[in-house]
This record gives sequence, C-alpha cells and structure tokens, in this order.
Amino acid sequence: MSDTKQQVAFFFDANRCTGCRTCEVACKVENGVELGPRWRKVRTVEGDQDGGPYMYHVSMSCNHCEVPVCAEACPSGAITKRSDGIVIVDQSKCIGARLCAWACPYDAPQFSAETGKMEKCNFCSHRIDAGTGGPACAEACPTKALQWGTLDEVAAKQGATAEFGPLPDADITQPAIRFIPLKLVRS
Amino acid sequence: MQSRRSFLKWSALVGGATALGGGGLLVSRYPTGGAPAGVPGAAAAAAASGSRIFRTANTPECLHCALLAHVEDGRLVKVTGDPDFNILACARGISRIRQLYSPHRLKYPMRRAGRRGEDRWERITWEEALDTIAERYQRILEEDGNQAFLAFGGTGNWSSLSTGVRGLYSAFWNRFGGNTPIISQLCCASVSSGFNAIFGGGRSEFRDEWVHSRFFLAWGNNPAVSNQGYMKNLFQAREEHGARLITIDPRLSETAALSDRWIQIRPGTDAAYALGMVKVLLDEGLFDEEYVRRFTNAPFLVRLGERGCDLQSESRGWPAGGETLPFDLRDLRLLTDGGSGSGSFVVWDEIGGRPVAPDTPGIRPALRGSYTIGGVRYQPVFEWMRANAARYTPEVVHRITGAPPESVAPVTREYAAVRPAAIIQNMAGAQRTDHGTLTVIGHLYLASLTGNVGMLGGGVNDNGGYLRQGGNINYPVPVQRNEPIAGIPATKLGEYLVERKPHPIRAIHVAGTGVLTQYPNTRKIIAGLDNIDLMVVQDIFMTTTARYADFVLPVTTLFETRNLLAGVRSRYIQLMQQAIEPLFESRSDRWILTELARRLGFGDDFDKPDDDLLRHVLEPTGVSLEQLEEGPVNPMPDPWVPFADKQFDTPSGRIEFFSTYLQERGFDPLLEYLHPVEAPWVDETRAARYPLQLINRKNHNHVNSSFHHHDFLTEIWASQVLQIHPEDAKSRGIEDGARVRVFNDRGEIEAQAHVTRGILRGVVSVTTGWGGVNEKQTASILSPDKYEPISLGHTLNSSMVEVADGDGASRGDAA
Amino acid sequence: METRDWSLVVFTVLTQAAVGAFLTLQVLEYLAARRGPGESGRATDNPRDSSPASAGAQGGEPEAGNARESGRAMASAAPAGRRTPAPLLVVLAVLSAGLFAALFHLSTPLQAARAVVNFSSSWLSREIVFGSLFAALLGALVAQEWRAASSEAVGSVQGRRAPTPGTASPPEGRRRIGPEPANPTSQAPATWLHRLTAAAGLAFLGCQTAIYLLPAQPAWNSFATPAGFGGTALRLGILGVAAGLVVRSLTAGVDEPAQADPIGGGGTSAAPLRGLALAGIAALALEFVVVPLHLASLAANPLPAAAASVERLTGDYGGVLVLRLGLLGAAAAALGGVLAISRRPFAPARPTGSSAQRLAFPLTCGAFALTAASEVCGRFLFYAMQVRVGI
Repeated sequence: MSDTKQQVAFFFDANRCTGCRTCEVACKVENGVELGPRWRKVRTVEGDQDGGPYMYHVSMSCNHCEVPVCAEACPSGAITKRSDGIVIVDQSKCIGARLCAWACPYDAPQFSAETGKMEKCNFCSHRIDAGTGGPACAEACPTKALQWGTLDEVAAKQGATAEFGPLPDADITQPAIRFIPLKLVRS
Repeated sequence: MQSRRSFLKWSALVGGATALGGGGLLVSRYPTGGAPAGVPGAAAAAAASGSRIFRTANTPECLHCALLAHVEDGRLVKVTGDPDFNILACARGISRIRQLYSPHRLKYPMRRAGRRGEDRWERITWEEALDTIAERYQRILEEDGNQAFLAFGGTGNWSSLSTGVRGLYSAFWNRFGGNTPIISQLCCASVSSGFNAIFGGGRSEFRDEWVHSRFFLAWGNNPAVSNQGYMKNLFQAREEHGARLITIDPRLSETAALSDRWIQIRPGTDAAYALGMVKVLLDEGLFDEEYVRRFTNAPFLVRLGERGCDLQSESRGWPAGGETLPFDLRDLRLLTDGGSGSGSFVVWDEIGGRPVAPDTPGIRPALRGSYTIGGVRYQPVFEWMRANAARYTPEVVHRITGAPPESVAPVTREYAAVRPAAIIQNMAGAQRTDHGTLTVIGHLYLASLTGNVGMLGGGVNDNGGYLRQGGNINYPVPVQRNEPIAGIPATKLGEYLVERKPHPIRAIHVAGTGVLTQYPNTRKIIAGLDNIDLMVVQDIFMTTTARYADFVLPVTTLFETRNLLAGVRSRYIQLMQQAIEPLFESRSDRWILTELARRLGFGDDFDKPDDDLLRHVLEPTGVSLEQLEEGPVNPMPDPWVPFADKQFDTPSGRIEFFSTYLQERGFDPLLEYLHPVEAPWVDETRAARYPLQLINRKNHNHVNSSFHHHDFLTEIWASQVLQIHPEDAKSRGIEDGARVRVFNDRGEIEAQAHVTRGILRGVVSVTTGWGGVNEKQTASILSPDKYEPISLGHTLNSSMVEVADGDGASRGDAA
Repeated sequence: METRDWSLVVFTVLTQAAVGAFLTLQVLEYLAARRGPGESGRATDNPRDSSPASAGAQGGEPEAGNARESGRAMASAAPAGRRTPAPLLVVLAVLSAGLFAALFHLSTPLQAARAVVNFSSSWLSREIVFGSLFAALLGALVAQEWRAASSEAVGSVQGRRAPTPGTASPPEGRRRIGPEPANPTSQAPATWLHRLTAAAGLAFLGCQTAIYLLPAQPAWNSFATPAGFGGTALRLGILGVAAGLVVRSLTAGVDEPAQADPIGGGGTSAAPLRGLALAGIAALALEFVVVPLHLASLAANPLPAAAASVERLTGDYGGVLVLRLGLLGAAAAALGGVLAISRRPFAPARPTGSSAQRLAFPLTCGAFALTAASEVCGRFLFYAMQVRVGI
C-alpha cells in the first residue's frame, strides 16, 4: 500500500466462499491466538427463498469501522483508530469492561479467558507496517472470497455493496468492508 | 496449557542445538520488519528476527497442498500455504502447527496394560518395542506364514518414505514376503470400475483446467469441500466465461448452495437420472454424432441372443425404467469377424451398405437402423442405448429419483449446449452406493455422447494426481515377487476377521490409517479383533484404532522428517524438508520400518540415507531432488487433457458404451439403472425399523479421520452433526442443536442435530470418518458391510438408520 | 446471560434504588418545606426540621391534597425522633454496595480507575464519574448529618428542644457548603449540596441508561431502558423510603412514643405513608405499561435480533417475566393495603403499635421486598433478552 493514510478494508464475495474456515485458522496461526477468542468467524446463513432453501457463508472479523462505536464505548480508551483506519486495542489499557462487545454490531471484540482482556483483529497491522503483506486471513483464502485493499479499492469492485443480507445496518458503524451477496439464480 | 508451553520450550532447546540437513530456504518472501510491540504470539516472534522457511506438503488423502514451515530457533512458529503452488493450503494444512505441538501426541512407545481397547498402557523403550514386535512377527511367520498378517496403511500419510502409494510401508510388507491383501478399496472402487468398463481404465483429472470449462455438473460430489483449493478455477470460469454450475445432490451441499441450479435426488438413483438425460440427448439429437461414430463403439453391431430381434417393435413393449426388462441385457452379443483386437468388431457402412471393420477408411458407420447379416438381425449399440434410455421418461425419472420431472430436459440441454463441459464426481459421493459403478458409467455416457472426453476442460473429472494420470515412481527400496495370498474384501473386514476367513489372521499392523473409523460395520471389526494375537499401530495420536492395539508407536509429524510426496491427489511432486527435530520419542515411519526390517533380516536396502531412497523413488519421474529443493514440480504436460489422443485401453480401443469389460464379468453390458439394496423405499421390511436413509458427507475439518486432533479445527467443528429435514425432525421430537442417537442393527452413534431444509426428506447425513477423538461419534459404525457388485466397493451411502432424541436411555448402553 | 452479568444486575438495581431513595427523600423534604414556616414553626432556623408532631397537629385537613399530605408524612420521613444520618447512611451503603458489585464485571477490577479515562465519549466513563461524584456528595451529606446529629444530641442534653429529624443538615453545615437559598420564602429544603447531590444522582442514572442505548442491541436501544431504569429508581426509592419509615417507627420507639407511628401520627387520618403508597402504586403501574409497549415495539421491529429478544422474553424467560409482573402486582396489592389502613382513624400510637401499625410493617416492607425481588427478575430479563443485531 502506497498511501497508508487511506482507510484499509476487507472485501468478501459470498459467491466464492465455500465455508472452509481457512481464514479463521490462518488468523489464529498468524497472530498466535489461543483457543477461545476467535478474531475472525465464518458464519453460515440458511434460509428459504421462493420455496427453496439457500445457504451461504460470511467471513467477518473486526470491520475497522469508520465510526468505531467500540472505541467510543470503551471507558478506558484502550481502543483507537489509526490513520490508516485500523482499529487497534491496547491491551495494557483494557480493563475488561466489555462495553465494546455490547456496542459492536459484528461481535468483533473477543475476550480471552486467560487474560480477561479484549482482543480482536488488528488487520495484521504488523504485516502492513512491515510491508510484508496484508491480513493473513485474506492472503490465505484459497478461493479469493476474502480480499483486502483500501476502502476505495474494494468499494469500486463490481457489485460491491456495504449492506449485506442479515448484517446490521451499515449506517451504525460504517464498516470498512464490502460484500458481493450470493447470487441466487436457481433457474 | 502448561504442558504445551513446556513442549514448546523443550522443542526449542532441541531444535536450536541441532544443525538440520537439507536446509530450508532463507526467508525472502517474507522479509522481516519491525513488529509493533504488543503483537501477540507467534507472529511477533517470527517478525522480530529472521526466520527460516522449510518446504513441506500436506500428505493425507486430500489435495496435497504445499506448505511453508516457518521456523524460529528450532521452533515452528507458523505454517502457511505456499503462495506459488497451484492451490492454496486450507485450514487443515495450516493448523498442523497445532498437531505438532499438541499435548495429546503420543510421546513414547507403549504396550497394552489392560483389556484390548481399554486404553491402559505401559511405557516401554523403543528397543523393547521393536525387539518384541519383530520377535513375535517372526514367530507368527514361522507358525502360520505371511497370510497370517494384515497390514493397513495409507490415507493419513501418502508420502513415499511413509505409507504412500508405492511407499516404504508397502515395500516393507513386500520384502516381508507379502501379507493378506485387502481387496478393492473403501474410496474410489466404483470410479475405477466405471472407468475400466467404459474407457478401459485410466482416470481423468483436470482441475487446473477448470478455468477452460464452460459448464459444470457437480454430480453426487461436493467439490467446494473435497476440492476446495481448486474451486477458484471454477469460480474463474463462471466469472470470465459465464460458465454455469449445476449440482445433483440430496443435500444442499456447499457446492449446491453456490450453484445456478440444484437438483435433489434420492441417494443411489443417479443412474436413473443419467439415463433420463441420455434419453433427452438422443431424442433431441443433442449428442456429438461425429464424435460418437469415430471414438465410441456406438456403431458396433449387436444382436440379442442367437438370432437377434426386431428391436423397434420389441422395445415398444418394454416396461418403464426401474422395472425388469423382458429379456436379459447380458444376452446381447457384439458381432465380430471372428478375430480379436480392435479391428474384429463390425459396423454397418451406410455408404457401402455392408458390414465392415470399424476403422475402415471412407466409411460412414451407421448409428441407427436394423441390419440382417447371414439371417441374423443386428442393430448398432446406439439403437440399444436409445431403446433402453427411452424407458426413462421424465415421469419415470421423477418416480425413481424424486427429482422434478421437468428438470431433466433443461439440465440436459444446458449440459449439451456448451463445450467443454465438466462433470465433477468422485470423493465419497454418489459412487459409494449399492450400484455406484452405474452412476459413474452414467457420467461417462453423458460426457462421451457430448464429445467432451479428450477435450481441454471437458469430460468427467476425478480426483487423480500424478500417479493416477500415468505418472510413475519407484518404491524407495527394490521390491520382490511374492506368492499370491487370498485377500479380504475391504467392506467385509469385520465378517472375515470374526469368521476367520479366508484364513485366520494373527497380526495386524496399522500405519497412518483409521481402520476403526473408516471400515464399515466397525463394531464387527472390533469383535473380530478378539481373534488377533498382535496388533501394532504407529500413529501421531491415540486414535480410536490405536486404542485397540497391543503396541502403540509414536510417529513424527510431517515437520520432523524428510520425505517426498508424489501421489494420487496432486500432479505435483514435492519434497518435504525436515523443519525441526522430532519431539518426544517420536520417530518417523521410515525409521520404524527400517528398524523392524533390520530385525527381520531384510534391513539392508532400507538402511541407507534418506536421499538415496528418495532419488530411487524419483528415477522414473525425470525430476531431481535438487529441483524439488527449489519448489514443487509438475512433471505432467500443462495444460493437461486426459484422453487427448482418444485412445482407450478397451478391446476396441474406443469408448465402449457397450462394455465388454462388464459383459466378461457377467454384468449388463449397457448402462441400466438398478435399485439400491438398502434404501427405505426398496427394503420396506427394514424400513419399518430404520426408515431413514443415511448418507455420509465430507467436511472442511477433516480428511477421512485425519485432523480431528487439531484443536483449531475442533474449536470450530466440535461434534459429529446429523443433518435432518424439519419434517423428519418434527415427527421425532428433535430440535435443532439437540443431541441425537443415530442407530441401526450395526450400532449406534451420537450426534448433534442440524435441522435443515437443505437435505431431502427421508434422508439424513453424518460426517464420514468422524470419531478419531470420540468413538461414540464414529459414522462407520453405521455403515453397511455389503459391497458394490461390480467394484466390490464401499456402499456407505446406501444405508438405513433411525434417529431418536439423545435424551433417555441409549440403546447401546442398554445392550 | 453470562454469570458475570449478575454483578450488573446487582449494581444497577442497588444504585438505582439509591438514587431513587435519595431523590424521594429530597422530594419529601421539599414538599414538607413547602408547607411553610407557619406549619413547621422553625423554618427560618431549619426549614427542613418540620416536626411530625406539629405536622400531625395540622391533621385536621383530611381533604388536603395528596402532595401536601405525603409531603408532611415524609417530612417525618425520617421522622421519628432525633435527627440522624441513618437514612442517608443507608442510601450511601446501598450505593456503595452497588458500585462495589460493578467491579466484578471487570476482568481487572484493580484497574477500575482507568474506566474514567474516556469521559469524552464513553457513557461508562461518565457513569463512573457521576456515580463516584454522587457517592462522594452523599458521603459529605452523611458526614454533615452525622455532625448535626451529634451536636443535636449535645443540645438535647443541654435541654434544647429536640429537633425533629430529617435528612437535613444543621445550619452550620449548610453554611459551610453553600449559600442560603436565594429565596428563603420558598422554604426550599435543599442546600446547594443537596441539589448538587441530586443532580449527580440524576446524571449518574442518565449515563447508566445511555450506556445501553446501543444500535447494536435493539432490545436495549428503546424507551424501555430509561423507563425501566427510572422505574426501578422510583419504585425502590419510594418503597425503600416507606419501608425505612415503618422500620424506624418500630425501632424508634420506646423513648419517642409520639414519633413511632408513621401511619396515623397524632391519631388522625392523615397517614404519612399514604402518599408514598400512592406514589408507589403509580410507579409499580408504570411497568405494566412499559412491558407491553416494549414487547410491541420489539415485535414491530423488523430486525431479527428484536424478534429473538421477544422470543426470549416470552419463551425461554416467559416464566420470569410473569414472575416479575406478578411480584409487582402483589406489591401493589400490599400498598393498597397500606392505603386502606391509613384511611382509618385510630387511637394515638403506642410503642407496640395499633393493629394498623402492626399491619403497616408487613405490608410496607412486604411491598418493598416483593418489588426488590421483582426488580432483580426484571434486570435479569434485561440482560438475558440481549440479542445483538446481525449474525
């Protein structure tokens, strides 16, 4: 990334996700996350449309929102947003009040039973800062269902939308993620 | 937690003090940088200073993805997929770091201290273990010969110095003098027999070439799970060429969910749907007539019985598909000129109006019509195919398969409209039913009729790799010819052990396979183990199978040894560099086999440097060890087009719609649908007790029963899950998420219910191979031990069960 | 609901009770004071020292408005006998217990001080600041009262007429803390310290409410949260004070027989508890409006999370909801009983009390206990119904 001042973002294409969870595990391996907290989660959505069942997956972590309500809610100022938009948590300041977890519409803040502190996706900021790549999850995705870039880049992808299926109203936090919803053709 | 930390420390000590042979490449792809303070764990460690990266590969029966092992001070800190490989490693591969450092690993050799299966053990030294095992093998050998031994090895590790195809483990048993073989296989037997019947053998895999395909028909197969690394190619074809994807599956599988169309059919009725499609192809002239004339035996003349018949009038009285024909298809005879070989068959030349050899220049072989030669009436194979397929009207197809009658024609037209079109099959799906070979033949009929076979990106896709596509490797050590020994059909293992057929087995050796989570009717196998004197299991974990052993030997993970992977699931040949020293007292399969061979008197060929063995393995490939140090090598033509030359290893050299292979073995030579044996709508007596049909699915968290010990995966997929339709659940008082019992007369397992409309009513699904950790969730307990008649293959998707809410007394406990 | 959320149940219920009780006491003082110097007799000296005895003496106005009546009753709210810091001390103790319970919601209670850092945007920081302020001011009031009580005791020994108690601070304390009320004729009961304390309490309650007004939590992001938190404060505040009153009447007694009957002090129909009981019933009734409206608004909300919350409230936890409302109904019935007995004239109280007085204790305290139990149920439901939006 040439300009680190631009908001970074995720991109998720439901038509390419097989639900393999490689992103989840890549995240844990890259960041040394122990059992319990899950910085990234793939959820399966099931439903019915036009009389037929459908199913798709959504891979999400912290969406590094443009309006980080977690940071607003945090009483101890442990959550901050960097100039490149990455929302990071300083665990030394976290007191474990869990207000962030209530405020976040995406279940991104995770609590470690071991430390009692909140932890969450940091967009692999260590890799971004070192110039060694992007988030491990996106780079590990075998089908490129999950990608990353600047918000402008991912928003420019064809069919990309901020609102997606059962996800919360994007206006709440203005998440830095864009989706391509499942195309339910079924003809 | 505490124990894991101490392992890490311990491994760091050992690794740091040892210079590794082989050498990893220096980190270049991941230059180091200043990691910010507070980045937790491994990443920080890796980023803080230079780390070495070693190449390795995922070795089970999966996709054989290339892995990079990031090592820091002798400690593995991270595993990533090799971004330069043709596909990217999945969660299973990169979670292998948790396998390596799992606190549950077997740490030292152990001898059984309790009853068999009781899981009580006594620690012993390697010396004692190997001496005792060798001594007892020697004694059994002297008393009862090689036939007293049964050796299982395989799908957990398909590398050459381990239990791979043509691997050291096979060589060990060969040099031992042989052992009772397992006949057929649990996995792809019906695929092999289908290809043998129609193509004369060979398997076709073109997953890298999916980018060229214009249409995909995923049939009884879930590539989104079983070929997830290659799905990117399918997605690319969809995005760039508008390729459509249709899935035929009783379940809304991960693939079906992403499809343009999903056809739900009853398990085991695939051949009927295929015949319905064949009918549409022939009726509407959607097949490739020129291709069919040139490359298939469709024009070959056939008669019924001795005198032939008037097929046109005869076939009008034929009953609907699924019902028995008034004559035996096996009485069909191909006309030959009395000779043998591909030229001995006869076609009718429309130009010359006479019977000629098929490859006679300048002729136009007839596909249609009836011809009298020497007073006998003959019709081309094509006419018989058409007459038989005509019985499979949309209504008949609907009655048999349950699929909407109006689905058949559109699906067929879509399939025939564009080329190349790919049918994706295999991987534990529709071919593992009571007549799975017929399902496969159905796919081959469709692909052949439409001229897709031999076309870039078209045909029938199987999961072959280098060895399945004609590649060859040597055994690591020279092998010998042994006296043949009568074998045990794979599905009949339990019965044969219990009844001591075909002869008593006294010793079982298991390496890298889950006998008690894969082989059907597992309770019976466990009962059969009572007849065994000695069972040795070498594995990484105390698996369900290992628990029943007399000796358990701790094996290294793929990071702790040097090895080679040239297998049957990837075209690439890969070197597996040793990244760290073995933890605990674990030893490689290679070391264990060498030590046993030495004690048994044939160790010389084994007792050589690793690289000598590897060079020997590589000899036929033309690939050098040095090349492999630089990265995986694909020795095959690229792009790869199976059957590109349209030469088939059949008696006619053509695609044989009329299968001489099947006829020779006493089966119908033409594709005909047969009802499954174990299905609720067929076996109504049994259905009174076990009214639900059980199918097994694969899942992203495992390969057969591998990976169940990776806690990063069990954190996501914690339990065996039974998929059940809401109506079936409701009538049984089962709610979504409830614990349920799934049972039949073979046994009972536990599962968590997933109530979903994504499965056909009357059908339930469990994950195959589950139970590596929790024996009570092992799906193979329920699997039938009958076999598919043509292939002797596994029929685990033709199975019947009943499901009940898990609360209350368990049948198993009560019994 | 997570186990750790129980600390929040305790925290919110106790602190809301404390705020409610403090405010109730202040309102009563204010109402009592409004009765004017002529009635209090000693207003210029200590406007809040209206004597229940004298108040009782005014009792010949059965038609007097409820407000006045209750005002008078509360003026003795504290009423029996000697002035004492006890009521405020109890409030402070409840508040402190609540604040202490909150610590258990933190993973690292020792670092609780950090929780105020983000005052500029975090409602939790603000809650803690105002909660602490409220506690500190309350502490100051208690200290004042303590001193006043001590000096009064001395005065009493010196033969001064024992001032009637109340939550008031002695004049000297008042002067120390803030200026005299600008308009002495208003007889405003509160000093600036009282006003500050009340403001801090309200701000505390407001911040506490605002924490939960999260778009991510539809069941919380509703009028029902302020209505529920405010309702808890009202119910437990009013009934707590009422219960305190009857308890004090039982314990006050022997040496102050005249002060011992909160129901019919002076033997008139002007029962001091009556107003509290009426207000209490109104506060209890509030929840019967809030709950259906909340459920209806959630049911009308298109978000699946809202529907899931309704399902929890009416499904899994339907029993608790019924229990919660049942307890409130029972409490209201008990308060109805209080109203009934306070209407009857009876003889001047004796230390052991009349039959009405004997009934007053179980009815009032019962209503309080039932309400307290209901509030715990209600707050449990509050946390248990939480369903985040999204997937």
